[in-house]
This record gives sequence, C-alpha cells and structure tokens, in this order.
Amino acid sequence: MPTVETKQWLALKAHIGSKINTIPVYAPNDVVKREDEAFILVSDANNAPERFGISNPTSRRSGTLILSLHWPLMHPITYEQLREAQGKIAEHFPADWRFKYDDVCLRVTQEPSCLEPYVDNSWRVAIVRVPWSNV
Amino acid sequence: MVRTIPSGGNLPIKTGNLARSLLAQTGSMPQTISGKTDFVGQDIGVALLNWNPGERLYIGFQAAYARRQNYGFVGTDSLGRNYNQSGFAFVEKAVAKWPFIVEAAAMKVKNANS
Repeated sequence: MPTVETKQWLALKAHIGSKINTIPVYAPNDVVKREDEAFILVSDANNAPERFGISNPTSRRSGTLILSLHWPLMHPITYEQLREAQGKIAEHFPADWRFKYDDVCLRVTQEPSCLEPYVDNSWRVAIVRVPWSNV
Repeated sequence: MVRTIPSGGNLPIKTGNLARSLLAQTGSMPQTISGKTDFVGQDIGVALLNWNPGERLYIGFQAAYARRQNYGFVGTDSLGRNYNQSGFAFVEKAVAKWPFIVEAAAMKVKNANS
C-alpha cells in the first residue's frame, strides 16, 4: 500500500498524464532523452505538513507542482505562441480542481501562475506553478 | 530561505555560495550576477535597518544558477557539466511558509509585550 506521499504524487501524475499528451513530460528523476524537441520537466515540491491544534490528528499537506515547458531555441516560436502554450498548460489546473488517488484527494488552491519566460542555455523556459493542498 | 537541506531547510548546498548570494534590499529586486562569483553573504539585519514598515523589501538570489536550482535544469552548463534535474523549489517552499513565519513572529512580540 503506497504511503500518503506516494499517493499525492500519483494523483498529480495521473492528472498530468490525462491532460498533457501532445508533448513529452518528464517526471522528477526521469532522464530527458532528446534535447532537440520541446518537453515539460516536472518538479514536485512538497511543503512540510502543518498540524492545527493538539486535538486535531490530521495535518494539512500542501505543495507546488512546477511544470517547466522547455522549448528548443533552434525551433523558432513567437512570444505569443510561447505564452499561449504556457496558458494551455495552466488551463488544465483550474482553481478548486480536485485530483484523487485512492483515499488521497488534492485540490488546486488558486489559479496557476505563469512566470515570464526566459532563455536558459539552448532552451526557452516557461514555468507554470500549480499550488495544491490536501482536502 | 537560506536554511539548507542538511539543516532541515530546502536549499541545496555544496559550497554554500547559493545561500550566501541571497540579498535583501529596498527599491528593486536584487539582480543576478552572471559568471562565477563568490558571495560573502549578507547580514539581513543591516538591510532591515534601512527598511521602513510598509515599504517593500525585495529578497532574491544573485547567483546565476539559482533559477536552475529552483526550477530544474536540463543540458550542459558553461563548464561542460551535464545536468538532468528537477527543481528544488526552495523559493516556493519559503513563500508557502511565510504566513506562518509572520504569525509566529507576531505572537512572539505580542507575548513579550503582555
């Protein structure tokens, strides 16, 4: 039986897999196989659990799912197209959207934030941050 | 934000240079310094002396590789080293903790004055 930590990740992973299938998605620890095509690098950031009150046995768990769209510099793309691609990723995670895996349920706590794209090495990088917490 | 992973925080550490590159200042966001730079670190207390309540205080990392550490990096860097890593998201984790840090500080002051 997976632990809560694993279930949280699997809930996020299942949603990513069901919504984003037109571009390769690399989970943490995956090895990026091709460096000449666009891909999304996923970072799974978990905050320390918070417990509210001694009488409350459950903790609030939260984190940020970071989806970094990497677009090769060798393939021209306009700023508008890059922002649109970023926005499309964000659209898959509307506020209050819930993901489930087994008995674990997570909720998107607010609209994802799309950071200003930047150039790093041979990539244009466009970050989408999705904050979540347990329900 | 500068508490390292071995110390119970979220910041990765090898030499401590990334942690020392954190800068707090008023007026504008600290700028990234490109190239190899050894940072000496900043006493945030000094920055706070120049800060007025209600004024915006900007806190940022100056190390050029801070963004790669935070959001992940795939490829070869300028020194020929190959990376394939997800981000540590230490900034997001610090931001998530911020309301509790403020609440705890406020409680401390309140208790000290009561």
